[in-house]
Amino acid sequence: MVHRLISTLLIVTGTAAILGFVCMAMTGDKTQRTGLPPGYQQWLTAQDIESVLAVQAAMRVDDRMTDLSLQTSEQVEFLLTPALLVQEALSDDVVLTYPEE
Amino acid sequence: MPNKSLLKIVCCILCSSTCQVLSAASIIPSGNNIGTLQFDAVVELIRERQLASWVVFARYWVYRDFYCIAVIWSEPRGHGIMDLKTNIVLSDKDSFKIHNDSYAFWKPINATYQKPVGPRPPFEWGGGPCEIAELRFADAHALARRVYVEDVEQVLRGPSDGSFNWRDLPIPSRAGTTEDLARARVQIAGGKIQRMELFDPNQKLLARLSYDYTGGNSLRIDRLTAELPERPVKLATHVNDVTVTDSNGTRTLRLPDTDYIRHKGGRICTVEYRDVAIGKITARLPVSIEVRSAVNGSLLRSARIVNFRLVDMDKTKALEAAKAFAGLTDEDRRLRKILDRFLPSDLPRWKVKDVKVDPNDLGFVRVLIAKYPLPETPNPPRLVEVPGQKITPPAMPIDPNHAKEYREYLQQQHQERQRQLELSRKQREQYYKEFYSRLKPPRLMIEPNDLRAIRALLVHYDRMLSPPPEKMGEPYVYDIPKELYHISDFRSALRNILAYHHQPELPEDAPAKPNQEEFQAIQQLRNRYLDLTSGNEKGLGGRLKALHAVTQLDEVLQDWRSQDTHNRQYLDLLNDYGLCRVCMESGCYAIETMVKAGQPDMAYEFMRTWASRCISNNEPNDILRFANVEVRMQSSCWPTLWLVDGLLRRPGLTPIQRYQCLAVRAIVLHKVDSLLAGLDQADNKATKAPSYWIPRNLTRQQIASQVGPAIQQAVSAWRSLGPAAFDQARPYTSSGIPAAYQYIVGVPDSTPLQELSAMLDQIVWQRSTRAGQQPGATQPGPIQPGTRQPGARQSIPRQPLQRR
Repeated sequence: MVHRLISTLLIVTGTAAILGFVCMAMTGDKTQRTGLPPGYQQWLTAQDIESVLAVQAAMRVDDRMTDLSLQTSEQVEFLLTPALLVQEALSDDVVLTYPEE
Repeated sequence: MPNKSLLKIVCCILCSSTCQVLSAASIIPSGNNIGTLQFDAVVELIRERQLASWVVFARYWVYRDFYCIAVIWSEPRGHGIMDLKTNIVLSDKDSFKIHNDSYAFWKPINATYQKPVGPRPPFEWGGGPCEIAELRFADAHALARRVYVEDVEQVLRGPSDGSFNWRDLPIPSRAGTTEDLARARVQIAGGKIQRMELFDPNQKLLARLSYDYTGGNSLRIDRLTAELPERPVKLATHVNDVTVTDSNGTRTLRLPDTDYIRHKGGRICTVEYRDVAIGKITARLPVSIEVRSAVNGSLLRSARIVNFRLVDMDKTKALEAAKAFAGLTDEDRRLRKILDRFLPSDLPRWKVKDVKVDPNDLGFVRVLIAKYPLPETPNPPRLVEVPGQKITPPAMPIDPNHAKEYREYLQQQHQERQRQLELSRKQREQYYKEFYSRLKPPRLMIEPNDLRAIRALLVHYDRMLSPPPEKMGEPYVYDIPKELYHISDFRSALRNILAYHHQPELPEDAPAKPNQEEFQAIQQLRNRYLDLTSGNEKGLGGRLKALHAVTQLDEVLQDWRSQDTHNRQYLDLLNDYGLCRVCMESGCYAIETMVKAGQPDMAYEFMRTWASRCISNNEPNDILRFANVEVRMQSSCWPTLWLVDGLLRRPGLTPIQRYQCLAVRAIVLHKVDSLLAGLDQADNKATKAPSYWIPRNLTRQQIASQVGPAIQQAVSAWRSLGPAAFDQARPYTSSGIPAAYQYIVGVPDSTPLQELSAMLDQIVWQRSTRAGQQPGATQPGPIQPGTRQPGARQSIPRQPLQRR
């Protein structure tokens, strides 16, 4: 009886694991099979109005211009870093870490 | 005697055990409250585009529950990507205050923000600048990510076997945002934290920290290294509303914010800690910070922290001290007035007070606009269409039948989109055909009185169409009222006339000349600033600021010898402090100023000294990064050329570095040659003087004769790179590609070196087509005038495309 229960459990668990792997492989294969850039694939598969709007919004973003300003923002925020690090070094209740600028 | 020895041993054992107890009771590394500290920081910011190096000089006042920052100066010569001078920040438990004397009209940076400041809004900036007031969110995030001793204490007090096991720390939410710290993992050994990982509420990594201690066993921290991964950021969509028509009817919907990434490639930050003697106290404090790219290890920014002093100040006194340190002084205000009045400006202030024009006489305005015809532009087509019909996608491809169905569906969609792209391409072709086929009217010389009238009208219309002063800085986009649309059209037409037609130089645009009394007042002010150059109470930033003011006043007084001396002192100060990278930018500024002031010989002598010092003090890659940025500018052609010429004479350059030098040289010479060819048609030659300046040892003919050989040399160097010519140095640029196509195709970012190759490629293309040969034709052996090199255009990369 016990042996049968154990073998049943093993079969069920094994089947579930195999199915899981198959599902993961199929999902992963979806992107690879199309061979298209993610943006293009998103554009192709956009059907409901929300995803169409999301694609439209993403199409307006100029990566190059955005990167320049994000870099400036990162650099300007770096001005706070010396203050935050010294403040940590002056606070006996704080563990020294690094602030993300 | 033996008893004394025994007593000593017992004492030592007791002391060591007491120390162990104490160390077990405190968390290592944590802070030590010694009072309010004042210090200076020199922050160097390095970029690959727009500006190669940018240095900010600031003073800080820090206590455990507040900090205050005052920026006194920035390099090159008070400039930068953003004007941070005179910015003052005060952060305490209750509020985040920003103040700036120079931009007192701009509300966001002259305001007090109550804490909590709320979630960070989507990022809405592009092209370089950003809003300084958003510093408050960085402050809030940093504080929300702090790890407190009480969080770690329980774990540390538990049994420690000296092993390097990781321990999990759930951390209570403090700010309640998705950027907040929710969990930490610590690795503790020998009573000290060795490593730590911080996670947000979604279990995404915020930072991975590692700690190095003096000599390994000491309790004193030497270095903190933080790995910051890429972080998600939301981008605001500026045009938010779109009208949608489908089976549910027509309605207006809002475009969502877009997911994007900050810290592209990740960052590695290193903080060095040292014992600093402050009066009678010695404290372990951070003295330097470096941030590098996690991809290639290149330095992105650094800070040197110096001049620590213990001061007796609360936050009110610190704010007063900050205003006295970095705010505008009476001398600064007088200096501004003098420079406005007596120095020429790139953007001359229009003197329109005496111009008699009735802006309400629309008939007159229409006649004026009609007198200077402008080229007509056809309406641009919509580049990309999105589907309006709703098609239900098939189920997820779990089984092979569904996968086949899904593939067919994608294929069908792909064909439909290809059809749309083809349509869009035809529309664009038609647009450009129409655009180029239209005859452009001749460029006229605007009559002086018409120019005065246009300026007066523009000043009036700008005032009418600007947001009211009480709304300045509040709305990001100011909507012009509908009843003023026709005024807006007039303003656009008048601006286009100034941009398209030639403008005469008006006598009233020339700067005023100081009289005897004013001359003496200016001399007195210069002496006052000269005194400040030797004082150290405002640090290096204060000295540079004063010396820069002296050079400006030298120019007003037309004391050229003195200006040259002070410019050299300025470079000495920067070099002595090890700011050699920004010395290149700063020297360029001085050379431009001298040329504009009509002192080309002095500029030439200065340039020779400056170039030799920059070449000997800087690494080749730093010089090349500077040259890569400057090669896009018109005004700094000669300084860039001098630097790369000097660098080429330096031994030990790699083939890639040598190619970059030669490419920059060829591009600059080609640009100078083209500029000189168009010299006769140039407007306002005085302000464009640096572009047309030729050093005294060269003639126009000599320059023209050097261009061809320079291009040949650059192309030969490119060919000799081998496989790198089609990889690191392949001619490719991602700039100018429409945003929609960047997204659809997943255009990879081009590197500065690839862009340089693309510029060279473009020049070879231009020169070959100009010579009447078939573009794209290549031939073996050295490049001949009229052949296109290097290689075929490869604007579309061949490797798998991926949006980053």
